[in-house]
Amino acid sequence: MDESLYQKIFEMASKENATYTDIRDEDSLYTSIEVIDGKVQSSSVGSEAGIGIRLLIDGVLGFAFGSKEYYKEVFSMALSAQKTSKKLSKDKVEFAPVKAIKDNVVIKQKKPAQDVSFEEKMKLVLDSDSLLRDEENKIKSTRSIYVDVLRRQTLATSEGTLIYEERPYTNFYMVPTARKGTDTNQGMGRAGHVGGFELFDMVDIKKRAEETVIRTIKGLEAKKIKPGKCPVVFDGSINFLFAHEAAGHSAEADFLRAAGVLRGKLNKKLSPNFVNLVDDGTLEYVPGYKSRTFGFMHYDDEGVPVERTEIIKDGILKTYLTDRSNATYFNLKPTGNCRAEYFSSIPIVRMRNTFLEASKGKDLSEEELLELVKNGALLKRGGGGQVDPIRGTFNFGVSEVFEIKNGEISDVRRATTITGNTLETLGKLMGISNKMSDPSANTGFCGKNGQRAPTGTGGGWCAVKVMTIGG
Amino acid sequence: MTEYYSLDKALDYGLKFAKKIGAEQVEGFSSNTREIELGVEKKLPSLTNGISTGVSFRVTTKNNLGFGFTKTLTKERIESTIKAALQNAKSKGKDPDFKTLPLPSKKPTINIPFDKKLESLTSDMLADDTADLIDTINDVKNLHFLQSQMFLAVQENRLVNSNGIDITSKRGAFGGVAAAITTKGLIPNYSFVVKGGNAKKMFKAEDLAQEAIVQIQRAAAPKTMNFEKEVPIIFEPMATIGVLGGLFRLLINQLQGNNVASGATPYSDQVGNQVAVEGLTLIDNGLNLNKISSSSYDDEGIPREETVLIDKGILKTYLLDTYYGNKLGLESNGKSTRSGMMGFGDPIKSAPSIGSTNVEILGGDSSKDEMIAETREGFMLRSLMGLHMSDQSSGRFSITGFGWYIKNGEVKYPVQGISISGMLPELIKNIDLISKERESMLLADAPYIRFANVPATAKKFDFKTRLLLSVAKAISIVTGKHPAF
Repeated sequence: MDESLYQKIFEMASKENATYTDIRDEDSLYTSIEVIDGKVQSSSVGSEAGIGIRLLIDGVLGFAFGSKEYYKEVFSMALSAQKTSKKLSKDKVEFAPVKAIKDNVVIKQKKPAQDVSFEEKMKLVLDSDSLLRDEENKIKSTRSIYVDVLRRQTLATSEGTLIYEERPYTNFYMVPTARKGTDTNQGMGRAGHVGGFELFDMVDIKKRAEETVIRTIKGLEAKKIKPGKCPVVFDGSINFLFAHEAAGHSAEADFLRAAGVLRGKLNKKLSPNFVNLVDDGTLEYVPGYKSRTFGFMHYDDEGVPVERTEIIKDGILKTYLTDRSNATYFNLKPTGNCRAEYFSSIPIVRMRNTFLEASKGKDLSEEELLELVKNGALLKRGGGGQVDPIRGTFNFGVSEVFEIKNGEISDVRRATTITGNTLETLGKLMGISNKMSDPSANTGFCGKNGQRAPTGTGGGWCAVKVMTIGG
Repeated sequence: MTEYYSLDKALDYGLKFAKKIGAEQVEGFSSNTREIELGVEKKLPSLTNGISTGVSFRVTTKNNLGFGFTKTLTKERIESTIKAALQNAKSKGKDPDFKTLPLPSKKPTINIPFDKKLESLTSDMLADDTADLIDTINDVKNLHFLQSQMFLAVQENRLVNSNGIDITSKRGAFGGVAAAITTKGLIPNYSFVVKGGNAKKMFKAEDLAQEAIVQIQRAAAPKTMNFEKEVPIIFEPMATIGVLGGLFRLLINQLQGNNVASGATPYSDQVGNQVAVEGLTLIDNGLNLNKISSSSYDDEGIPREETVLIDKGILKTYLLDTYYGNKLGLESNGKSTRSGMMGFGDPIKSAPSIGSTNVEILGGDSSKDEMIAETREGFMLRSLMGLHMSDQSSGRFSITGFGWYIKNGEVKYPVQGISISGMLPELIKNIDLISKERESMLLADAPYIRFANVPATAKKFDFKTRLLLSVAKAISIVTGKHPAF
């Protein structure tokens, strides 16, 4: 924290009649190790440092970034950006008022990853990678990736906010590939949390690796599911995927300022009464699990405290996800969703922990959901997704598929994809279980405008009347 | 007071320090990128001016590599970065596949000139161009400007290694993305276009605006439909190998030496074999004079080249850097990359790895019009979603896209939500037509390609959704403003 430097910048901004200035001063640490087929293939250590300055003058923002030692040049570039933007601006930026906050937040690591030797980290990855083999040699190739990040950032605003935050992330992926002739199936196991190396004391990596191997082999041997439309039950990871990708992105106010399927639908009914769509940055732990959720944080990158935001409440669209300027534009309150990947990234609206849940007393058990669908498909383990928030279409990967026959889980089927329309799917939800899934297995990195943001977390199972399944 | 080093001083100090603490070989890379990104979302501009500087090092010991980077150019941080990288290399033990960091190459090099005119461009000029682009689109009936992004980057790099390589280079990137929306028909639709190159003459905002207008007019008034059949699918060049996700990106991935070496691709041990139809020739050309991924040398100092990967359907070679060239018993063909132009990644933080440069698919003897005329029933696809969820090792994909329905040799109407699935290695043996005409894109040149039979599905919006769309349309007719836009 370099308060005297921040003051100098605020004084320079004040002379330019800036009504608001913020500075993000970052010095973050990174380690990554990638093991392929039992051998360390690449590793990287490094530090990401610099400042980003945002200026608001005459309702127009300017942003610039660079090295801290050249702060005067960075300031000049931000001023130049503001002046150029003014030529194009037809919409004034006005920040919703928030209380100035001074805070020092260090999210604890029981076993700080930065104190763990490279040898120990490497051993963990090599040992885990060796667990991805099977006795019958059906797994032909393995890949394991370890990443730890210590995000260290100070946010200083001309309104008096001064927040230093250390937020650690530790994340681990296991990717076995099974092969039979020319046919292959790639599996995926994950473990991650906001925290340090203690992740590997909390998560049974051996068990997770074994489960990943079994799923990968079964997936290779399974038959394809018939493409087409059918009722489905999906698990907590796909709840997260749908809630985040399809519904959540469609509710981001910066997208909606331009266009989108949820534009003009505030206070309209989108879903059956029991449906709630939640984006919760305050959710640190999920009952029954020790690891922190991947979307947990204290403040967003405008210094707004994060909150539990009920985007859809009892089936009705209640709010969009906002930063301070879009909160004003839509006459909503700031929801603490403004995030930037690095000091060099312009802050935009992002999600935190996003999931669907049932209204109190209206949730169903997983068995009841299967019974509700009767005959269809059980979709488990989301494998990434993509959404078009303007057209309202989505496409998700599904790693594990089972048929549902007479309300019972039946034959396993091959990995597939599902596609659909956000509004239609929200309207066709039949039931939701509130039994949330393991947050360490539900970590995501959301991509938007070239920036990545860590997000979570797995909700409960859901049933949908009809979904299009790929093949 | 903290002393900050210049990039050259940081590199020189880092190289000496690495040797001093026991590195057998060392490579230093410095980068200084000045960039302007000017985005506009409907009416709201967002301009970023930035300078990104830093250094990274690869150090070797015991026949293994360690990599570290820092953007804080102090003596202390440079030393701690190199110590950590060297520790990594030591801990990894001997790697029998690692032979050496690159040696100065005897291969001929081609100069890819830097266009100095890029340095005269300012954010004000980009803003003027953007204002004209917005007006051009908004002047067309039923069309509305949705968003745009102009980018300008000038990157100065230096690569030095203890084997005698010392290369300084300067590269530029200039271009833009524009999207327009139309409310014609029941379902609003949008379309986007991307253009750019490594010289000022390669990009004109006016051309971007005109292309955006053409594309959105083609895409206006889309329908949804119920469909479930195996039919011919024509891929527009953007769907084949566009920068924002084309199907052949999956093929390029499968031809990367790192994936070949680990067996995570169907193309290991396939060199010399017919892997696609005779009409398909696929090239990675790092020397294309007009593209932003072109350079005289790759990012570890090997001369770039034009590499034929698949020649008339026969697999010729893979994308290789020095490490994987050694491992596969082949020579590097200059495909080592550190990401970073145009905001895609950060060259300082990226350890060199294999990547494509400019992908070129040669034209065939058909034409787009002939392909359509010869399609009894099928689709023509332009944009795809979900490609990144494909199984990289097998090439199994299931994607959803936007395109046009073709019936009896005629394009009938645009369609939203066309899903296709299959195995790419089988699909490239199932190409029956390739057009003569090719489209030049940001990182590729490609023709129209027709795949003979592909399982396709589509689903019509349900009654409730169609009703909601009808209400929105009625509101837009009465108020002149569409609720979704």
